[in-house]
Amino acid sequence: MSKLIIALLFMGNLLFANVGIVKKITGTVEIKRQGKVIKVKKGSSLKNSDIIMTKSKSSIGITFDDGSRLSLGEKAIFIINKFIVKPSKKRYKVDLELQKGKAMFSSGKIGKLSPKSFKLRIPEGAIGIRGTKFIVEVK
Amino acid sequence: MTIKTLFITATAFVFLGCSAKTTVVLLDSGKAKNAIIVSTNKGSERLNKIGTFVQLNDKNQAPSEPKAMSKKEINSRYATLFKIAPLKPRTYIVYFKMNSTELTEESKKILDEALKTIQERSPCMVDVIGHTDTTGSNQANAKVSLKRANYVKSMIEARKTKVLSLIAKGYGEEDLQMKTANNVSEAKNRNVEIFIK
Repeated sequence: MSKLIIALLFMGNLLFANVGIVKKITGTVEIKRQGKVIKVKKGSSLKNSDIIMTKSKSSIGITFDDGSRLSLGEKAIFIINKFIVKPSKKRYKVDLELQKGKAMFSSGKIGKLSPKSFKLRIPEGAIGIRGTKFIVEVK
Repeated sequence: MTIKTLFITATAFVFLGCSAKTTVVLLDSGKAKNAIIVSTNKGSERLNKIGTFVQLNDKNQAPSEPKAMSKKEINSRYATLFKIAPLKPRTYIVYFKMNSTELTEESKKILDEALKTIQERSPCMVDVIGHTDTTGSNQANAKVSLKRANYVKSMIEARKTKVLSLIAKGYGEEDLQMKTANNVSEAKNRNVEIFIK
């Protein structure tokens, strides 16, 4: 029983931890979190499972916990499925998803420490990153 | 040193054939080696030349062959993305006198610079990570490194700058800036990293 509680607490930590913040914003941007729609502003925190939606003539700039940076243009739908970069525990998992719109991504520590743990899903497939020291090519 | 991979992806609905069409462009990251791999159910394409792009139409179709996009076109098509991009995070490293939480004279100036950057970048997140050299036991070093990190953290807190998250960690001798054998007094390893993002 106690083990289960510890496991749940641990998972809770991952679920509710802040994974990034809003650094810049123009227009109206909303996030869907646990069924609720929240309007975001500069300084808002982002969490795992957040769905970010930008309205027309709106854009947002986000910095993630590992120093990765994301820009989203107007009418975009972007999901942070998971953003876990914990070098002290050697735990890495970045799973992002662009459903619609334009995005620019610049990788932070994940690109150096565990590039193969990074995935950005797009409707037709996925994008992976490869750092200089760890070239892995899967065909 | 972080290895950066920059790319732009754009999903746009094209009326012809009503199929979703995605473009993925590799950008300059300032590093010599820089690559992304774009894959669908039917194959994958590796982009490692700055300014090249692939297009995708369907998950059951391989990505197109990579082609070049001019800098001018990238800049105009994706101007909004460049405009809204956050500043690159900055790292400052301050050094300590042996066996103490006292900063070296030079590092006091670096700390001031870091504090200025935190102010300029507000709201921001700051990680303060303490390190030690390899003299002394692992446990003692873990303690000293955390003490150093907490000291720097308190200096940041004293400025009353709005920081969204300020975390102090002690890595002890786990993640040395300068790899050495055990029991080596190395000034470079007695430091605190201030990661401002």
